[in-house]
Order: sequence, then C-alpha cells, then structure tokens
Amino acid sequence: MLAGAAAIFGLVCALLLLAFRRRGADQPVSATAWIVGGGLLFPIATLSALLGYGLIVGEQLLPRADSATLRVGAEARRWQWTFTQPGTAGPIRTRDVLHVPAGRPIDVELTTRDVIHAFWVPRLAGKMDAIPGRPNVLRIEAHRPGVYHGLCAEFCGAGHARHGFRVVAHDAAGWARFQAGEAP
Amino acid sequence: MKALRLHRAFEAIWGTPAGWRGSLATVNHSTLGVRLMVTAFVFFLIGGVLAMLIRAQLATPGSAFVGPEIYNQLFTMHGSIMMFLFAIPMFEGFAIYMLPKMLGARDLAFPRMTAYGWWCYLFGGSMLLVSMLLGIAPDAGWFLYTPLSSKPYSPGINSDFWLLGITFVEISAIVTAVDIIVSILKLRAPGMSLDRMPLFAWYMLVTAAMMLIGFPPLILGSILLELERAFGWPFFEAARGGDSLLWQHLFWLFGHPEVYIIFLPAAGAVSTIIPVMARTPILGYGWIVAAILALGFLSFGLWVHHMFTVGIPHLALAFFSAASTLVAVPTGVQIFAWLGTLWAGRPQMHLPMLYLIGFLVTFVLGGLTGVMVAMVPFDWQAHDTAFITAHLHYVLVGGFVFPMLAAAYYWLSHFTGRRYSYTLGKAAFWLIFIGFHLTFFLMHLTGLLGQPRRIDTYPEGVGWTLYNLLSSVGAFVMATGIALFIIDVLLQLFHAPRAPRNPWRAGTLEWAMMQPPPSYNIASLPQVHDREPLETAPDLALSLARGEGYLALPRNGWRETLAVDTKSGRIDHIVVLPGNSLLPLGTALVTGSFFLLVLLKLYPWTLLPLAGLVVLGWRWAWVLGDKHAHGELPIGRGDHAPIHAEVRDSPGWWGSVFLSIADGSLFAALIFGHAYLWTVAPNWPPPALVTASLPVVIAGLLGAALAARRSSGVTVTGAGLGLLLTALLLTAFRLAPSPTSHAYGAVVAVLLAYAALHAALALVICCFARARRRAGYIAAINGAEPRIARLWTDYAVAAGAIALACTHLPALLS
Amino acid sequence: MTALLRAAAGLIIWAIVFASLYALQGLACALGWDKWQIAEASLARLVLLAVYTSGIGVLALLCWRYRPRVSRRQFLDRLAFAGAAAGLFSLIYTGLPVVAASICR
Ligand code: HEM
Ligand SMILES: [Cu+2]
Ligand SMILES: [Cu+2]
Repeated sequence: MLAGAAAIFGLVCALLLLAFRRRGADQPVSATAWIVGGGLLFPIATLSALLGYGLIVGEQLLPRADSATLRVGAEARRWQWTFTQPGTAGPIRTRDVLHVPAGRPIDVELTTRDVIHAFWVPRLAGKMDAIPGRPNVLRIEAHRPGVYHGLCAEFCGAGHARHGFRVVAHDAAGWARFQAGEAP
Repeated sequence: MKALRLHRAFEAIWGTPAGWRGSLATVNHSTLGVRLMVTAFVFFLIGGVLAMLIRAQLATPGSAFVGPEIYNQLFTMHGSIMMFLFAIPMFEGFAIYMLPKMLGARDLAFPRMTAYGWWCYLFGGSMLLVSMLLGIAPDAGWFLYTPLSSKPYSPGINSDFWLLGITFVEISAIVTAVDIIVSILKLRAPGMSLDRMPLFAWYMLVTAAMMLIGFPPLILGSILLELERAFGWPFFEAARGGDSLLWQHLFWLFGHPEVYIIFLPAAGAVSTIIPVMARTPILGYGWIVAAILALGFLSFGLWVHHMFTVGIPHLALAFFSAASTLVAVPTGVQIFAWLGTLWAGRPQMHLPMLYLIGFLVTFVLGGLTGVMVAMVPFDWQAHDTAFITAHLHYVLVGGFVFPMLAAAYYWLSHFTGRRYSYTLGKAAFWLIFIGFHLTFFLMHLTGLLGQPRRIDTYPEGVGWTLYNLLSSVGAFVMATGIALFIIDVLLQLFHAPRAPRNPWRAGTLEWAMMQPPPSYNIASLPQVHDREPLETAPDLALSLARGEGYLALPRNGWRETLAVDTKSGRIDHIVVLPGNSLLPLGTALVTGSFFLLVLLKLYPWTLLPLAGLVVLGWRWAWVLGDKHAHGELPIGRGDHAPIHAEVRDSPGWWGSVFLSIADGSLFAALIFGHAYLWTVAPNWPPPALVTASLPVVIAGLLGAALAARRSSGVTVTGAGLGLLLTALLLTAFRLAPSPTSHAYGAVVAVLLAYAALHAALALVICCFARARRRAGYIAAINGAEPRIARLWTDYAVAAGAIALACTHLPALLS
Repeated sequence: MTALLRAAAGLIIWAIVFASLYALQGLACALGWDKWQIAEASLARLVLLAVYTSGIGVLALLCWRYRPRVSRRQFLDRLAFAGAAAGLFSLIYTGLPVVAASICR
C-alpha cells in the first residue's frame, strides 16, 4: 500500500513537473484521455483491487468461533484496566496487566465502567472501543512469549495519556503456573 | 461624464453611511464578506497559537509545560476553532464577497440575512473565546464524544459552551447557505444559463446544498446533548436506554460531509485560478460539474469510517469502506482536470501558482493516506493515532489553507486595487510549505510507531522523541511563514502601487468592475453569452460603468438587481433588495441572549428572547414591499420585467423552500435517532410506551386534514392547526412517559415538541399572511406570500402527522 | 429547477438505496434474520440482495431514460445522464459487499 501510494504520488508530481517543462508544445490536449483515463479508470481499478483485498483481510480478522480460542475480560475505567483470566480455581482478576498464553488466539471481551476507552496493543492486533452498554470482542494473538505494551486509544479525559497497561504472554509452563494462581 | 454621474447616484442608494451607526446597520455583501474573512483569519491566528502551544507541549517527552486539564482544552479549542470558526466562515465570507460579482449581480438574495449570519458568528465565536479566557473552555475533543462530555464526566460548564456556541455559529452557517444557494440559482446576469456559470458558482451551489443537509444533524445532536446535560433526558446514556453511539452517528453524519464542505470551495478557487495561470480554458468543465455533484452525494455515505473501531458488523464497515474509496474517484477527476489544464496551457509561475503547487502536492498525499485509512484493517491500527492527525492536516491544510493562500494572492488586488510584490510572498510560501511537511510528515511515522493522538505527554525511550521535537520545530517554521504572509499582505494594503484593472487578464465577471469594487458592484448588468465574458469583451467593465447594460437607471432609491430563470438565464424579474437596517444586529442580539440564558441555566427567562424573536421575525418580513402594484417596469435595452413582490417564485419563496429542506434534514435526523435507539440501543424496550389514545390521534389527524386543504380560508386552516397543536400537546403532557425515565420518553418528547413548535410557527405565519393581505400589500395578494404560508403550513401538517404516528402507532399496534 | 433535480436524480436514488441497505442491515441483525437459513443464504442476505439488485435495476432504467440522444445534446441533459451513470456505478460498487461480507459480526 505504501509503495503504491508512493508510486501514485510520484506520478502526479511528474505530471505536474512536465506540465511546466512542456510549455509551448502545441498539441491539443484531450479532455477525455486525461479525465477518463487518469480520473476515472485509473483510480477505479486501483481502488477496487485495494478494497477487495482490505475486505478479505477484514473478514479473516473477525473473531470466529474456534475451540482453540481463550476468552478473557477487560474492563476499562478512568484510569485503570481490570482483566479477568480463567484460572484453575475460577476467574483470576488482575489490574493493568493482562496474562495470556502465547501462540493461541485470545478473545478479549471489552467493557467499560464509565466513558468510552479503546483497547490497543499495537503489536498484537488493531484496536477496539469499550463502549458503555455494548460489550465488544477483539481477537488478539501473541505469537511469542513476552511483554507487550498496550494503551487506551480513545480520548477519555485528564488521565488519557497514562491509561496504559501491559500484556504478558506466557509459554505453556508459565501459563499453567499463572492459572494455578502462582504469582508469575 | 456619464460613468461618474451613475457612480454617484448608485453610491447614494447602495452605500453605507459613515459612522458607527452605518457600520452596525450595513447589509452590503462586500463589507460583510470582508468582515467574515477578517474575523475568520483572526480565529485562524488564535487557533494557530493554540497549535503552537500544543506543539510546545509535545516537543519533549514528559513535558510539564501545561497539565492535562489545560492541554485537553488546547487541542479541543484548536480543533473546534479551526473547523467551525475559521474554515467555514472563511469560505463563507469569500463566497459572500465574490459570488455576486462573479454572477453579475449587485448583492446576494437576502442581504439582511447575510448581516445576521455575520453577527451570529461573531457572538457565538466570542462565547467560545470567553470560555477560553476564563479557563473553562470545552475539553472533550472537537467531536465531544458522549459520555465523556455528559454531565457525570464533564460536570463543568465547559461542554455547554461548545454545544451552545457552536449551535449559534451553525445557525449563521444555515442562513448563509440559503442565501448563497438562492443567489446562485436566481440572481445572475441575464444570459448566464447554468452551463455558462463560473465553476466557482457550481462548487458553492453544491457546498451550500451540502450545508443544508449536513449541518442539521449536528444541530440536533447538540440540542439533544444539551437537553441531556441540563435536564437529564438520557439520549446517550446506556443505563437508561440511550446510546453513546447515537451521538457519534449524528456528529459524523455532519462531520464527514463537513470535510468536503471545507474542501469544495477551496477547490472552486483552484478551478478558477488554474486556467488563468495556464492561459487556457479549464479542461472538462462538464466533467468537473458532474464530479462535484457526485462528491456532494457520496460524501454523505462515508460517515461510519470514523467509527470503524466501535464494533459494527463487518458488512456495515464494508459499505462505508467502499464508499470511502469511491469518493477518491470524483476527486481524481478534478485533479486530472487540473493537471490536464496545466498541460494544455502555458502555465506561468506566478505566486498563486506556487501556492497551488503546494496545494496539489500536499492534498494528493493527504488523499492517498485517506485511501489507506479507508481500509478497515489498516484503520484498526491507525485510528486515533498521530497518523490520523497527519492525514487530517494534509487534507485540511493542503486542501483548504494552501488554496486559500493562493486565492488571497490571486484576488488581493481585487480587494485593494493594488499590485503585489513577489519576493516576500515567495519566502512565506517556502517557510509554510517546508514547515508544514516537517511538522506533519513526521506525524505519520510517530503514528505508525504507536503514538496516539490527544496525549499530553509520552514516555521517553519509545522512539518518538526525535520525531516529535522536529515536528515542533516544523510548526514554528510554519508559523514564521504565516507571519511573513501577514506582513506581506499589510505591505500591499498600504504601500503597493495601484494595479491595472484585471491584472491577470481573467475571463470572469468579478474583474468587470472598479477595484476595489464600489458598493453596488456594477452600474449596469451585462448580457452574458459565454463562460468567460471578459475574454470576448475585454472592455466590458467600461461599457458597464457607462450604463450600457441592464438596470442602468437608478429608480425610486431602490436597490435593484435581476433574477433569472434558473436553467436558461432568461430575465425573470427585478429584485428590489432591502437597504441597511439594524434589524440583523437586533435579531442576533436577541438570539444571542437566548443562548446566554440557556448557558447560565436561567431557563424560564428564555421565553423572553423567544417572544422577542417572533416579534422581530414579524417585523423583518413586514417592512418589505409596497401597497400598490408597479406592473412591468423598463429595465433597459428595451426589456421589461415585473418586480419580485409581484411574482410567485420570488427569492423569498425559494429561500423558504431551501430553509424547509434544512429543517427537514433536522427532522429526518430526529426520526433516524428514534428508529436507531429503538432497534439497536441497549436496555430496550422501555418500561412504558405512550398511552395510545384513538380520539387524540383522530382529532390531530382531522386538524391536519383541515389545515392541509387548499380551498379552506385562513380561519379554517388556523383552526386545523390549532387542533393539531392540541393533540400534540395532549400527547406530550398527558399520555407520554416522563422524558427522564428512559431514552424513549426523551425522544418522544423532542418529537412532539418539534411538531408542536412547527404547528405554532405555521399559525403565526398564517396570521401574518392574513394581516398583510388586510393591510393591502401586493406581495400578500399577487406575490409569493400566500404560497410561503402554504409551504410552512404543509410542513407543519406533515411533521405533526408523522409525530403523532410515531408516538401512538407502536402502542396501538402492540 | 427540475433540470437540476434530474441531474441529481441518479445520485439521490443511490443515497436512498445505500441508506436502506445500511438500515436493513441493522434491522436484520436486531431481528435475528441472519439466523434464518433459506437454501444457501440467510434471510438477511436475501433481503439485502433483493434491495441491492432492485436498486441497480431502477438506476439502470434511469440511465436508459436519460441516455444520450441526438435530441438531447444540451449540457443539462448530459449532466442528467452523468448523474444517473454515477449513481448506478456507485451503487454497484458500494453495495457489492452484500454478496459476501459477514452481516452481523
Ligand atoms: C497552523 C498549523 C497547525 C498546526 C501546527 C496544527 C497542529 C495540530 C496538532 C499537533 C494537533 C494534535 C493534537 C493532539 O492530538 O493532541 C492538531 C489537532 C487538530 N487540528 Fe491542527 N494544526 C494546524 C492547523 C490546523 C488547521 C488549519 C485545521 C483545520 C482547518 C486544523 C484542525 C485540527 C483538528 C480538527 C484537530 C483535532 C483536534 C482534536 O483531536 O480534537 N489544524 N493540530
Ligand atoms: Cu482511556
Ligand atoms: Cu470522514
């Protein structure tokens, strides 16, 4: 997409430049060629291709039912996150740190206690808003164990810039320990 | 000399008396256009200072320059000022100044409305400034999302300032849009058929129409949110059946078209300037008209792309993603028409052209990032990051500020009558251009690196530090460029030598007059034969000044201009425009006191200004017109025409039609809100519906039917409206559940109030029409007034019937 | 004024059909139509497809009525055809997702 955009931008700049160089060349210019070719056919062709691709990727990113997925909860409030993970002895609640197993798709159920916030871990997935009265589900996946930084992307008032959290992705052993309730 | 004699005579009729009284009462479009532009520019500078403060804060990580409370006010006010108090009024002022001159008319169709619009803008904008000076400015972002902006999370008066101030300014935008649209459709030079209209007029026609449809949803949203904040009517509160997403829909239903509303006038200026710079007619006039028409419609189908992350089903996202990519096509048509024009001609590197190149380069980049964020998966990453900040400034600064700077240099000699100097403006350009790209190109990168927008601070060591510092440096370079631009313009205002007439040898009619233009624009109206009248008749200005066109004889002290048939440009009638008056100022003051009283929560007192508005509105319409008929009057060149008071489709009629369209858009948005809450809001169904009552419905519909009958007299119509009003009020006060209990009750209350208000308004208008007829005014007997009364009666009948159906039917059916 | 309305007619129809598609999508999900299977597709998709194709039909008809002819060489006639064609293409393009995209998720 980036390369395509750069190419199109280069094309427009080149045409612009040439228009000034060309000064004086007196062949008539055809409106249809410029407008139908450059203004209609060219964008329609590129945009259709891009749109089709975008929609297919979009479909693939949707949270579909899948036996391997794990469901966790994320409740936002000003300015804190409360996460709920399944443990061996019932749900485990944590503050500002979300624990997940690596290599497994996770469905994060997003809710809010007050205003709209958005859950965003740039390296794991896109973002999704937490909206009063409308639980949303975001599919994320950490391919490798590690710590990932997350933040609130929707402006939520004075503490917005500091409304971050961490996601800890465990390997299988670490996850088992976490689920058993041993502090990691 | 004949020209001088005519000048004196017309100046006596059209001029503004010296002194403060004259300044307060003037309705002249040139004066008001310049006032609007100057005011908007001042707001641009204020918004720019805020931007500098924002960049100062973000220059370094962990900055303690201002705290989050102040920072939130800074960016909220920056965004709101730039969008509502700079961009829109700026192009409105430009159109107000320029349109009549380009169309070969002497003023706009509703001069007093023009003045009222400026006053409303000034007062509403001042309200926001006051809030800023008091340190209680709005701080919930320029799109003021609920519930952050609702009472529990914004208990202060900050958000009220936004809701009321912006609504006040929107009123000015609506009346200006009606003014512009009717002027373009009716007030043109004879012979200027639609296909001979300058492209700028086409652009403004589409823009004004978009404003009529696009602004009412925001006005409605603001009313609803203010009702929620003031009285606890829970439109947006999920716990009581409201939905914060309803606000987002209403806001973006306005907000996206808004971006095109800002872009189109600037593109109109581009389409006007480019062919002159290239010394050739524009390539593909018809294609451009079709493209802007398409753009006008398509841009209403994109609003959900601002809501890709709220959790909407993929099909809905796909619709809006598709539409968002599709708008690039008509934009592409225009860009290639411009490139082709440059290609076809011999472009000259004058200063306006330099700024236009800045525009093309910047805007194309903004458009390309726009297509990127139209892709749903990409937007899931980029949304609400600095990438978006970068994109929106590429589009807004690239698509509006650069063309406007080009326009400023292109038309400056029209305002001042002086020639421009080249060097300083060139230096200003390079500073602005380089500063801009330094500031905002880097924001793409920080955005992709994960920097969100609207943060007052960020940690060190995440890789954003250097980019942010450079970005801030760029902003100050750009500010220096703007300062240089101001100095350059001031120098020209006071020092430059006098310019020859039509210095660019352009073809459009605004150059067929003295520069700076006299109050009446042209001593006589031309007959137009093609798109560029000055191309074929370079001496047109002189011949018009000598009175060789239409309406060259001052008569009765009237301000006369011609109205034409919309399509063909055939002469239709003479419009006698109202003269200077203090009514616009008075009405704006009373309107302002209404908003002020609401702001101060003195609700019972608001009845006073409301009554005042009825009285002033009555007077507004009453002072026009004559009690005896004039018949066909000579207009010069052997032609005759009646005056507007004696024809059925006068500008007043068309003004009512377009105002009712804006009103209808507000009503449609309200119905949409009702249906939306009903189908998708959480916590429905409501605890109780309206207690349906067949007698009330039947009485109301009977009243509606009586009022709608064409043959009935004023008494019967009035009785019908009264009956309808009673049914609506009975439903509201006796049968409907409390507006505070559930969003259902709240929305029903607003629906009924809207219909009742229109029934009452129609009653007043019917009384007015009757009083005018009794008093013997020609316009009330042979003219458009009965027709206008009919229009508003029919509107009230339709609104009342729909409101009754929406409130009673669900209960009757269940 | 009617000349201008004709020029906008195709795009007005696009706006109406586009808004209906979006509204129907919301309604269909609220009423659970996506769960009623009829043959291969859900009721929701069938309804949407029906609106989509009939919208295309109407716009195609409009294009035909406004088609360029020798007697209609005037600017506004051509503009009316351009508007209708733009409406038709816009509907085909913006409505195409009804064929495959997930309706309620
Ligand atoms: C004079 C040069 C300008 C500079 C340096 C500038 C800078 C900025 C910056 C840094 C932000 C981001 C604030 C944040 O995310 O925390 C911003 C936001 C914004 N700017 Fe500008 N800006 C400029 C001109 C404009 C113009 C001309 C317009 C519109 C016509 C505009 C409209 C906006 C809007 C709508 C926002 C979003 C505000 C919000 O998030 O609520 N800006 N600007
Ligand atoms: Cu937050
Ligand atoms: Cu948008």
